[in-house]
Amino acid sequence: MSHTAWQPKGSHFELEADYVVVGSGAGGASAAVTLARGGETVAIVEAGPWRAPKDYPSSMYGTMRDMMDDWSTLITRGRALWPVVQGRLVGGTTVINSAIVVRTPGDVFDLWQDEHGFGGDAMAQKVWACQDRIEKELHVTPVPLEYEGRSNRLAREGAEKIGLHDHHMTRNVKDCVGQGQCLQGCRLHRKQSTNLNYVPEVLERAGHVLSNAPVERVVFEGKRALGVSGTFRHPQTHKKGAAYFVRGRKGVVIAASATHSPALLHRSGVQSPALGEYFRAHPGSGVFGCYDDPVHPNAGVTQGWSSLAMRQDRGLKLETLHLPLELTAGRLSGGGAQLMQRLEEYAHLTMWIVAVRATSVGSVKNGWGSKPVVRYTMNQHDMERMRYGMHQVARMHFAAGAKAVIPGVLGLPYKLGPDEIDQILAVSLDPRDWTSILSHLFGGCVAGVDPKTSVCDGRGQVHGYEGLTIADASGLPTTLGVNPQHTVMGMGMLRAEELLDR
Amino acid sequence: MGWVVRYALRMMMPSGGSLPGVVDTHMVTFLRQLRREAPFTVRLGLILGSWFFVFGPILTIFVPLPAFLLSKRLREKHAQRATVHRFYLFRQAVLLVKMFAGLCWGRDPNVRAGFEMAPLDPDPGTWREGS
Repeated sequence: MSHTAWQPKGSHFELEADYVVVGSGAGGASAAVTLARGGETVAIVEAGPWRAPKDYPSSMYGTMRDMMDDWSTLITRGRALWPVVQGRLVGGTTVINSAIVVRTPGDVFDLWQDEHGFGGDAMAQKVWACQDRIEKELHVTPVPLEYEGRSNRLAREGAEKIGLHDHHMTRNVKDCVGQGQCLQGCRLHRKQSTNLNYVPEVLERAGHVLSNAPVERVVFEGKRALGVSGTFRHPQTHKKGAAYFVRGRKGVVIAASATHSPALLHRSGVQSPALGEYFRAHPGSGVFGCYDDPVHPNAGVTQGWSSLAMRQDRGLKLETLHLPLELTAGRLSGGGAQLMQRLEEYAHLTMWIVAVRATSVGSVKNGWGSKPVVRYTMNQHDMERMRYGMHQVARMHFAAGAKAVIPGVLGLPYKLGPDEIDQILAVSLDPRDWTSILSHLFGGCVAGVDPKTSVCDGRGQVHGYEGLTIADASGLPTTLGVNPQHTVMGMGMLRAEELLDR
Repeated sequence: MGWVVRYALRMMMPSGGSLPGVVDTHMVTFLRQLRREAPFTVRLGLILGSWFFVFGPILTIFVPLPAFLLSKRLREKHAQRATVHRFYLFRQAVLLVKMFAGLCWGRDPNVRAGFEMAPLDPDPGTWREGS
């Protein structure tokens, strides 16, 4: 079989396979490759184009245009308008993230067992076995110290001085040379995103990939999912092309992301009181440190250090992030000559972030033009934790030798000195005063035993329907407190193994 | 993109200091590219943000004039206050102007050279055809 990209109007494209997998990111690609290895024919249907590393952009403008979901215009509707960052191309967000690989903590499976009726130690063992395999196949290794860059080194030193346990990140990156281009996709082929391994393997195993093919709806016969239909979209002009239908003889696997999966099921008329509910995230916010000596924030690994020391008691994760020059202008406060003056010290700035394992719950519905509508507002408790985390990051900067920090929260001075950081602990908890993003997304089609509070069961099968499986982050009923890619991949593989076992 | 958008970007990241302003980069080419490639919502957001920014001095410095009729000193004061204004939607609209000014400015080879950063390779905009 083969790859079918954009098809112009005037024709109708049809295809049949054992399974149709909607989405080619962490969940979709790992489910698809597992099914293909099990001898099934698989058709992956991806909304975005297939871009090889030679096609990747270099600038952030190009990244928004070529790789982000709808130019990254999806924002939360709630008290604050926070961007929701996702990839839209073959490989999904695995192409544009920092490739961070963290095993699913055991307490997450216990929580699922206690609150949602599935999970527990048996599931943990199965997911960890899948993660063993993923780590070997995707060359998961610690960040190489020689390429970590000064920012990651300073973070490690700062954390050590304030007594935070930390670790070098492990990532699915082979022979990283610290180009600092993770967010734009690694043009050096080092990052092992799924468009470079699992998706091509599906093709080699007699599978098929449709790219530029956003799915409009899942087609049912009664309560049985027959396949998916949609219309090709030109990757440049976005014009509609040929209509298509892909039949899945044995079933349809949904892995279109925590925002698109619930929206797709809404459009398709799936009936569930929990559909689109229980949307959760790890919202994050950053603090710049200003150093006397240049940090050169784009030299070295994009994200090479993190600490989970406060995951259990505070629900916080601290980590580094190299912000490209193009985005730094938007992140620093001020305008006009004042902004230009602040940008002069760019080489001396570096940003570290706090991500919150938030308890806030939102929802996702299908909106106009098949765009998901995300309603989400951080509650007071989560905002307090974010504020505390920001204070810790500021402490780390000063311990690492920063002369000032730039918190970027409305109501605080532009810069704070070492004696002023306690002002952070008194800053407004109104989300509108904060600059944050939602990058780790969960829920919307959550798993559980009760059809009133969950969309699918513990094996990902949608309640009340046949042949319809959820295999992405939308099925996860809680947040994780760690980067979700590895969990989503492990769960995607497990879902596929369960389908093969039936 | 129209004159108001160009003026807004220029006011957000002006020339005159040690760094090149956005007008010293390929701003016109950037805006042409944006008009050609960006979806309607993105273009609309930038246009609305620019209008808010250029015609918003009444909200920031309480002067009922558009920014282009202000003195340099007042224009600067307006640009500073607009990005930290208490009215959230106004602030967010102006943030869009800043974001696009930054996207244009930060990819310019001369700007990057000033920070000892290598120029960016072109964005090929290509994709894998069917096989």
